[in-house]
Amino acid sequence: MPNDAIISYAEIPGPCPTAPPLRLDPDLSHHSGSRGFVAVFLLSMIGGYLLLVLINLLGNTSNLFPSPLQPALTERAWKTRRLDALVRAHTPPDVIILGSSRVMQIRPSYVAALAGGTAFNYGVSAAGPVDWYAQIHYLISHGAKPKMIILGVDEFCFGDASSRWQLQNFGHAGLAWHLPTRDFFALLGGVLENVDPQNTRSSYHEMFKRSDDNPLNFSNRSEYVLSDGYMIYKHATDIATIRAMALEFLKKNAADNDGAATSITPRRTEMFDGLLDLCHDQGIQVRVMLLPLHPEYARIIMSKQHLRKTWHDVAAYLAQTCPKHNATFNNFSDPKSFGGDPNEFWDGAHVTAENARRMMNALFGLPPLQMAAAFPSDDDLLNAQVPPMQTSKKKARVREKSSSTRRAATTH
Amino acid sequence: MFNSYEFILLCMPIAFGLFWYGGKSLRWRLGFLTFASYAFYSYWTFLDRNGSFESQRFFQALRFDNWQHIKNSLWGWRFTIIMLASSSVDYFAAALLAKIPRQEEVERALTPDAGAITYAPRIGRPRPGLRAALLALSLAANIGLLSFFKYAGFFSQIASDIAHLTTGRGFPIFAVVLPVGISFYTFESMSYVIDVYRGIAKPAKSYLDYACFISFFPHLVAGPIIRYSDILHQFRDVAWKRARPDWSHVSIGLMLFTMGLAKKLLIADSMAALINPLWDRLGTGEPLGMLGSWAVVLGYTFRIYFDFSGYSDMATGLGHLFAVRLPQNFNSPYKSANPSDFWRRWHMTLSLWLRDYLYIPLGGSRGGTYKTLRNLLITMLLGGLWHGAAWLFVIWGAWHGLMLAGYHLCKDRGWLLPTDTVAQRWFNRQLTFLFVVIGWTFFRAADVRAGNYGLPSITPALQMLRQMFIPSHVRHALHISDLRLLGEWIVFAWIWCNFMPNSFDFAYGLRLRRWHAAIAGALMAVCILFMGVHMDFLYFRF
Repeated sequence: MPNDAIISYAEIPGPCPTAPPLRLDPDLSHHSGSRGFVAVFLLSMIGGYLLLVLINLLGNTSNLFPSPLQPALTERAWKTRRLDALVRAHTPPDVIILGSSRVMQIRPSYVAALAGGTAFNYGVSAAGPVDWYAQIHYLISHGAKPKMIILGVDEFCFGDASSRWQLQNFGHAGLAWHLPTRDFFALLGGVLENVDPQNTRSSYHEMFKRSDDNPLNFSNRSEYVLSDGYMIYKHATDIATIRAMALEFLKKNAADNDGAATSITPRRTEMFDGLLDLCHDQGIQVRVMLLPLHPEYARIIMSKQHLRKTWHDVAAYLAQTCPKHNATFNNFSDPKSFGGDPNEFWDGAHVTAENARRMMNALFGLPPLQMAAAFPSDDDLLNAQVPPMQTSKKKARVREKSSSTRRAATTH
Repeated sequence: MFNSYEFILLCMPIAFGLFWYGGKSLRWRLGFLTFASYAFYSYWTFLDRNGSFESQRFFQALRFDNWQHIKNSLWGWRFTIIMLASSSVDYFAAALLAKIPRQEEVERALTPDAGAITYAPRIGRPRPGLRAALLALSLAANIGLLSFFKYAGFFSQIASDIAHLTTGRGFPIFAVVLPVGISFYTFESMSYVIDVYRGIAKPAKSYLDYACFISFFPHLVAGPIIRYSDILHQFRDVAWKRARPDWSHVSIGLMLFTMGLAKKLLIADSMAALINPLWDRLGTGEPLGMLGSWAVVLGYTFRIYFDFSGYSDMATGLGHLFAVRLPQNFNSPYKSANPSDFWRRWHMTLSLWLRDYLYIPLGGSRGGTYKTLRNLLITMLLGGLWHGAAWLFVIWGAWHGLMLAGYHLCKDRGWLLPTDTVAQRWFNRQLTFLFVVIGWTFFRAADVRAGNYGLPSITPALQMLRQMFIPSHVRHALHISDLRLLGEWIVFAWIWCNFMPNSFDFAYGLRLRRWHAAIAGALMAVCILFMGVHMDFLYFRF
């Protein structure tokens, strides 16, 4: 009998002033719980949740959904929409620049002058092999196959770090669709984590407003992305700030005990090799370059042995794999390699347009200071009669995921 | 953790499906449930400090190809091994205990009534010494484990403080990582062995039975504290013999789980988001003012109830998904009319454990007023210490011990307040509530950083109490909007706790209709919306 156990406790001699009534065996016989009850529960739960996701998708205040009403105002989605527009206008770019925010200062107009045809800077923050996989597959499937890809590689992009920036791939359906399957589901989880009360409430209100995909509407004027993907930085930093940034990086990286976030992982290199093969098969010329760091920033970061080792490993890997897959490789990790000026850095990792120009010269075999085309200053570009297209890369309101250890070690 | 996407959307459906549809045999169901529970428990071992699963460390811990890897793997699985070892010691100790007859059994077998005129060899000789030694061995293993992992830091701090006072030099303090759920499963193990020793519970039929009882994941990390005899018969219940789920169980389980999740995510966590930053002010010495400090302590009073009772509801609901009924742990505790009543309603399975295995063995209320009061105080002091190795938990336990002792003294002397009218009963209820609220100040202050285990750690509680009872000139210590929002939550929670039926009454008293399912399902969807804002259950740390 089920209640034997309970009754037996009462056999213990002595009064029990604090005896709680233990309810263990409630009678379930009068309950009409059934398979139908469970089915309705599940349907209601799934339906309710889908409704909440739909509100987030349509209102899209998190900028993580490919909303038809409120397009995502994030780099990945915004730049891909610009490319879509070029394809629709039958003028797809001939040269695509891929990489992280560290290639966003490469001017497509200057590259076009060097390589011929038209160019588009498709660099997005914290990009790595997963993003390049989605971008290149999307370009090929969407009829925007370029003749040349210039690919800027960050020294720690082959680690297993997942960056919250990668969630932004979901801001454009085409990009999300072309993510590798494993990453698709991992990132989808991150996107759904952002279906939270705050985003849902604000998305509900946004659903009934007009889209503000107007390029002139952005309030954050500290960074501008022009219609060809070129980014103008307005954040100049001094050497003390660069040192502080490097120390901050080391502090965050300290949590990465096993170095997995920064060291080379086979999955990423296999993905990279596959991309090079794909480009070769498609007749796309690929020029790979390892991107530079400010000398002072590099000195501090590379004082850690495991980081220094990764830096050398990545350079060695690229030097070995690129020729194998018919791609060229230039190691620009030291600014001297392309005639770069240490003063032409916005911060520890981002070069100015001038250093980016010299880097392009070196990539195409020209002396650093030679001018292949007119090269107006950033201020001139901003003050042009026709305002540039703008977007703010910080527009996405993405909630931090819990895996901050991995993310922290990722450079942007 | 029960309030995570991984658990609700992945682990729970998979475990449910495999349990019911993977096989019908008792061995499969016990084996699968044990495996799933150990997997659930081991998962914690491989979380990093941000709560993310470290797959690399997990795969490294699966390598046993050389001595170094074996050492690493053993270290990686250490908490699982500890639980397994603890279970094994108790299982075998109880099995041996059951083989040695108790004195009463032998006497009963030899009485004419039992039909045995001469000595019956099958009964065997009573060997009380050996039985006591086996019991002592098991208890020593459990208490030793608990003492090492939970109290080593605390006691070494005390020893260091004493050494510092006497010799002027202290010594380093132990810092040991506390395995999740150790307080719960050691208590369950001890109760099993003691019950077998006393002869009021039969030993487990197999090791699998026992391992499943100890590790059954709904109750593993934060209770309810169950007993083997509560669970044993359920493993062989008619529901477990079916090839398909018992939908009545599943329906009630989903209702309870949803209610618990809603209590945790929608109420407890919302309140926590308001009060946690205010508690943190104590650590920085910022004043809260009288109104602010009362609001914060009241907020915590309701938060801990909704958090822990929400967890217990979820655990009970999960148990029902596997056709296992777990005991009720909360019975509207803030409706208590006196301190004794409070402990009949708050964390009921713990108070029952303390009663049966501590209070009664100490003598209970059999030795007169003085001894009853002494026993109550000792029981509650140790109950407080069970919650955590810190002076503030000891003080919290002592506070409740004093409340209980005072209540019993008043009861003996006829000094209790009258309870004839509704107003008098309400007054008693709110007076009890007030004392409980003051107790929570000690409990919560244990989280405020003010030294490790030493006496300075009680400073935050004293600061808070001073602010609660001594008017200060602090104005606008809190943003008025925060205070207003917190106040609204407190009023809501107070009404809930005083006028609403508790989850068990509600869920079991309801004749389930499909529209109930529709509402519960929608509520679950809303809970999932809130799940990303992650806060641990308060009782996980105990």
